Amino acid sequence: MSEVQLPSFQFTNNTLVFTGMWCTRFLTANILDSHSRVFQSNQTITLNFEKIEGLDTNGACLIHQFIKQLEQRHVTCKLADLNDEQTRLMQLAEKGDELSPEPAPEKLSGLANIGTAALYLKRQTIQFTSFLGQISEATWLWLQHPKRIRWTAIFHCVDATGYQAMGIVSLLSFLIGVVLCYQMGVQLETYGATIYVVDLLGISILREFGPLLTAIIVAGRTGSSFAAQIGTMKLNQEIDALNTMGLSSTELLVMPKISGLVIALPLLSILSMCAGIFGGMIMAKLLFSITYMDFLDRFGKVIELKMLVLGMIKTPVFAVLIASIGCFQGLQVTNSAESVGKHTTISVVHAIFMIIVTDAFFSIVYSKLGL
Amino acid sequence: MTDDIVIDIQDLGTRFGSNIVHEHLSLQVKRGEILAIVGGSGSGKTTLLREMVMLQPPFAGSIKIFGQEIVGTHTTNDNILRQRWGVMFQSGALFSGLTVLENVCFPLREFTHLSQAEIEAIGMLKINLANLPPHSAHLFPAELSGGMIKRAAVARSIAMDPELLFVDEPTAGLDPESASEFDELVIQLRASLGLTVVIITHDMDTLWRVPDRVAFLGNKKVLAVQPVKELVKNPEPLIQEYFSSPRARAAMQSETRT
Repeated sequence: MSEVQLPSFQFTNNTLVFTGMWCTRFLTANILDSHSRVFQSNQTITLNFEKIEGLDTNGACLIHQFIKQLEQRHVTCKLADLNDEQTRLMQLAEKGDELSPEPAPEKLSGLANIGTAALYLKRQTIQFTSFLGQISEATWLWLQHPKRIRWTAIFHCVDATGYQAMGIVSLLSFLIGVVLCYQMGVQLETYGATIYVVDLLGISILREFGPLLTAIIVAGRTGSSFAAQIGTMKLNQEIDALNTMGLSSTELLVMPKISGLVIALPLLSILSMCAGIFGGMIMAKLLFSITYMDFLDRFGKVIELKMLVLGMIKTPVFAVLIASIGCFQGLQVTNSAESVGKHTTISVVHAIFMIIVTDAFFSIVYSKLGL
Repeated sequence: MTDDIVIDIQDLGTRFGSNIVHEHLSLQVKRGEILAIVGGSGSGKTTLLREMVMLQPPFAGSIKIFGQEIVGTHTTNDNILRQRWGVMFQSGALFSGLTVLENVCFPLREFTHLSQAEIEAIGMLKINLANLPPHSAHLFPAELSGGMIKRAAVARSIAMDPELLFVDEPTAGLDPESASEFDELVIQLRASLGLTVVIITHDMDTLWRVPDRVAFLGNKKVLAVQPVKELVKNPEPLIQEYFSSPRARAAMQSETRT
């Protein structure tokens, strides 16, 4: 292939001669700009197209913009030696003339940003409250008419959010159990009281770590999937389709997810507790020579059933939080792929935030009640 | 003269698992023509388009575009070749996070070294060429009507001044008026930009008004490539069946009357 002549021009005797390929691929920024200043006002110059090797609409558009700039400075341009094709392209480029880009909306200043964020927060709060209202209404409806309960969808949800999460939840809980046992055991060893590691492990895992860790894993794994699924359905107008059929998207999509997770999360939490205690037990044997029998014997004596109950009470609350925040953010999606991403992120952040706040709330209540 | 053939497909074969879609399919597209590809559902029209724009490799055969083989070859030239054609997808495939103007300017920003002001000037020209109202430039795709989405998609596909334009189902989902306007737009763009256009369509009115030639896909190959007036007289049973539907007859009658 022969060398392509890049777009260029020569200026002599009031005549600008274009040379080279004025086609999209070869154009570079501001080819003509640097020269627009040499001309004086009220000068007439000729633009000669004789030596141009190629021209397309984008090249013609640039030349046309250049002519417009010159005309603003009262330089008159004459076009010369165009062939039919080039005449046509230059005429076409004039079509862009009638319009100029409108400025994009301005960015808000700092104070206005705070105001907008506050209004947004207010709107979100109202909407979330109304969403909780819809859920309560649907729950009441289901309780009154148990035949309406969609068991298939619920158990599909239990499968996806519970059964399939068993691997990751048990692995992570096992590792946390190992780490906790090691950290606490090393401290206790200085007092020669390593057996108390059983008490510490039992209480901390049953009351706190089991439910909390499971809820956080599930918020990342399931809350985000709810938000993305419902968000994409919303983009695809599937939610609108349901509503036009007179079906409630809350009852069909949201309720099975919430009920499913309310079943799955407590089960996962029990699994997590077992795995965590098991991890601690193995570590206690390896590091501190506490036999499995000794461990289980002491566990049975010192850990009251109350610990398990107090831990388990939290899990359905976490489940409702995770599922409702995920579904709510999914329904907030508006018309772009970017929005799906944004609301999926928000769903996880809000869910984890709310889980930790609620956990703190439970701690306060338990301590007030002296539990 | 090979220069006059822009797309040269020879002995193309496509299969998904055991399902054979194309077998020994051959088709030529000449420079400057508008070629429509029609055929019943499942005859592999969209698959053929995807193979032509290198989105999907065929099972066998050869496709030459601008004389360059694109089957089984991966060269550094592939991307230069991709810049020589534009594709308009059926649903527009506009980037939902960008405004119309940003969508149109996107390929220019990625592939040219022009300044922001120059790119926007070109973008506005293309928006205007696609007959979009100027105020739509700063709207997001979600704020556009169906017809405007298709126009914006065309504006983006001609941003780089391609020589070849692929259009998938341009009038699907449009009201009759927008559809006819779109037909005019394709004809007008061909005339003003000297494009070669490949259209996939189901729209009988489009078929009568726009293309120079129509390629009929059936039985895994191209059964005929003829101007539509001759194609309707083709005795091939599949073609007769296709054109004997009431809608096809209505379109034919209204066209022969005018």
